[in-house]
Amino acid sequence: MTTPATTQERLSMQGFIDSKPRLKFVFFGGKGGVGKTVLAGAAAVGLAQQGKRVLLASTNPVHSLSGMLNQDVFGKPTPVEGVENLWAYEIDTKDTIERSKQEIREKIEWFLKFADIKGRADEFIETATMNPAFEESAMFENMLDIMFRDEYEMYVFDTAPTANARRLLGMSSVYALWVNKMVQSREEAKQMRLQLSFSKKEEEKDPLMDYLINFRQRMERAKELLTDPELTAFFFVTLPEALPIAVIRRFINWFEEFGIPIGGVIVNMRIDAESVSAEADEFVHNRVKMQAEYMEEIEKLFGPMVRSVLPLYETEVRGVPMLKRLAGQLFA
Amino acid sequence: MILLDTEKAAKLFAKYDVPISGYIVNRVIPKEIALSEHAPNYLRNRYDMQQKYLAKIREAFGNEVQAEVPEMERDIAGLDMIARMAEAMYEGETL
Ligand SMILES: Nc1ncnc2c1ncn2[C@@H]1O[C@H](COP(=O)(O)OP(=O)(O)O)[C@@H](O)[C@H]1O
Ligand SMILES: [Mg+2]
Repeated sequence: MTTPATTQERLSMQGFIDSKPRLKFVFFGGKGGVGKTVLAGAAAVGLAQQGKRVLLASTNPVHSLSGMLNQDVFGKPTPVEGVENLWAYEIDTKDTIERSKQEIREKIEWFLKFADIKGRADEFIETATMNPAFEESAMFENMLDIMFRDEYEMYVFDTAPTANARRLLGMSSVYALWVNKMVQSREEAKQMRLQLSFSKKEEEKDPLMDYLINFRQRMERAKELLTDPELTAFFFVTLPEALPIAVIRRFINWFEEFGIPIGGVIVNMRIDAESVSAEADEFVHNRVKMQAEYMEEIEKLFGPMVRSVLPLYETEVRGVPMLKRLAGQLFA
Repeated sequence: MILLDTEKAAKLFAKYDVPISGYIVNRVIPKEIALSEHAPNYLRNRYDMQQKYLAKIREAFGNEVQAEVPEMERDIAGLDMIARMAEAMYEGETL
């Protein structure tokens, strides 16, 4: 292995974890298929084995934890068989989405009435909820709920809601301005209505205002937790291949820009050159050679951020015994 | 997993009358390589797994599958690799 160009101390995964005794929220980001779910599983297993009460949670609309664990963990935190201190939980996003739709419907209907606009809310709701960002927002809300409930010592999330975290943290000052502005103009509108109306009827509840204020509070709290480098770490997973490297380079740039704490880089699916027979097809040798080239690039780009390099196993990673094996290598 | 996502997308497209011209299966490991005598185990196992899912794909999308593109020996970066990819894609074309 070449030595990194910088003098920055190079920490292994275990070294990093040891250096962050208060670490609580762990995320894995990267291109699809690089092993985020499997690494979240291995990290959760490893941390639980080190004595922490850990929740491994998935907010994805299409879940893969149950498949990986060979155990149904859908709908509620479920103790993982064969690992003490570990619970796994696939959150029902459909449910959340239905609930958010209902909430949005109420707000839109209320707003149409408030503004005296004739029309049906349905069209607005359809437009608002067809947006792919809507599903991601629902996932993000679910994640925040779990974080705020604070029932475990550590949380490992399968799949970092990277785009959302970025949006949230990058835009949070804009959000704050926007919400403040909204709150202000709603106050003014209410005053007007009060002055104009002759009937001095009891002041009505204002669900939009409540929502805005609540939303602002949630975002502020989320930002506090997610930008605290003692509490939160995002790990980026790559393969020794061009595209996965390009993806995490971009993520790392965003995250640095917005002050989101980066735990480091994990390289997955490295083919063990020893295991490849000399007579193997050229196809295989070329793959090994390609990986070696990209390992050099990874070293140059990320050097001291690389926490672990994990081998490509002979089969896909499934079941607790295999996750334990992967955890052993991740924390070696 | 990707199969599930694709089916979901197809349903959504259908709901809004967006026509789908077909499906392309990518990164299929070539049989000769996977089953050759000295192939590493990881490759053979992945080949077996792929064959299982390929059967499901052919069942789900049938003759809408336009092409099965083989896994290349390195990742697709640069014009050379893109050209090889294009060749592989149009080779099995049935239109
Ligand atoms: N080191 C590895 N060796 C062999 N298979 C792996 C390895 N890491 C991941 N896999 C397999 O690769 C596939 C994709 O991994 P997954 O964790 O689902 O990726 P992601 O969540 O990033 O999309 C899964 O079938 C998984 O079992
Ligand atoms: Mg995943």
